[in-house]
Amino acid sequence: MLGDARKAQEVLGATLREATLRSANGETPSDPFWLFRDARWRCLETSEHGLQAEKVEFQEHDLSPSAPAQIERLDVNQLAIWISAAPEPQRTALALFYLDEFNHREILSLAELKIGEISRLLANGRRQFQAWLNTTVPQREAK
Amino acid sequence: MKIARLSRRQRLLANCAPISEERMNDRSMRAAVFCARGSGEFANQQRFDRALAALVQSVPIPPEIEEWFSSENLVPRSKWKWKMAQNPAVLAVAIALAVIAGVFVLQFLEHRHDFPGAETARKLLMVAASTRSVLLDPVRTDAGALGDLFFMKHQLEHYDVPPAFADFRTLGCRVFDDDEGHRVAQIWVIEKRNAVFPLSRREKCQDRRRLGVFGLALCRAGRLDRSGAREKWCLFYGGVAWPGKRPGTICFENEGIRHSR
Repeated sequence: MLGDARKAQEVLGATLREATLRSANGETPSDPFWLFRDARWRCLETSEHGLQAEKVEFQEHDLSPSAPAQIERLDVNQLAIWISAAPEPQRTALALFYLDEFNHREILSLAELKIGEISRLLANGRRQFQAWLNTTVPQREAK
Repeated sequence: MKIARLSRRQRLLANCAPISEERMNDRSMRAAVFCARGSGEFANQQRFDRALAALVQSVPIPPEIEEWFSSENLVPRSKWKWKMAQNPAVLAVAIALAVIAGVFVLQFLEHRHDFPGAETARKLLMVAASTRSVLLDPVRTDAGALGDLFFMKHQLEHYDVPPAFADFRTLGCRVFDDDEGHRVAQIWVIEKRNAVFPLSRREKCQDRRRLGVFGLALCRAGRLDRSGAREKWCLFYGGVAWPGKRPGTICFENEGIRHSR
């Protein structure tokens, strides 16, 4: 979500520290996703500082049958940067869906979104990523 | 079959179809995926998602982060939580156990000084405490002289008052049957308004050791104690009485009731 390993590590450390303190004091919330919720808000807070992604209009392409081959040629950092540059709450939806593999109900609870919004954010995200893929790793190259 | 044939709700769900089918634990989601499975668009989406998931899986975890999670018990869980004690169910069980334990302790303390025959002795003490003077025949003489009276009037042969109490001056006496049909003689003496019970015939108690330890049993709050002269005294004899295992206690044996020591 942050596109920066150092910041991500700091957020993870702070989240775990908070979890440890709460656990030691017996104040662990009953919400099973509180750790992720906490981490998400910390990420959003951190991402407000420093360099901000430029707001651009993403192109959208239909998903291609050769997309898996294109993705294989990607570097994982490129994916991280692309997701971290997505606007909120699309970034949260993509991160929770692809990085943590939460199902739609869990994402609804964590990101406080509606099913229509999540569906649109994911579908648009895929089409935009496909468009970016087509530019970064042209389909002919991937084949 | 195109994904466009799905209902709006199913289309929304199909867009959120989980990457792994193992995560598909929602009925409506399973139905949407089942309907969308035949479409090329959905197949592309699934391949796309799986390829991205595979890429994510290949993300290397920094060694320092790996170290944090090297132990399964990252945050050791305390076995006992104070919050658990505030749970009404736990609280109720704890109180119930405490009450049960308290009852057992009281029972134990009450019966700590018990001796064989204590129940009989308690019954007789209750009789002594509840006896009114009008129930007794007025007899003003020495307690030692009542043996003859019992023999002549009530046919109680060999019911002798022990010499230790023979000099007590009496106020009255009576003979009655107890719960088990044994005849019991009751004597009121002047000294501290005591009640004296000859319980058994002398010849049945041939053991000199036993006969020699006839004594006074203190009646107070249902407990029998041999020590102290300042309390109300009730005397039992006739059966047998001997010092209890614990200091200060006295044991009784009634005629017809044989208690093991």
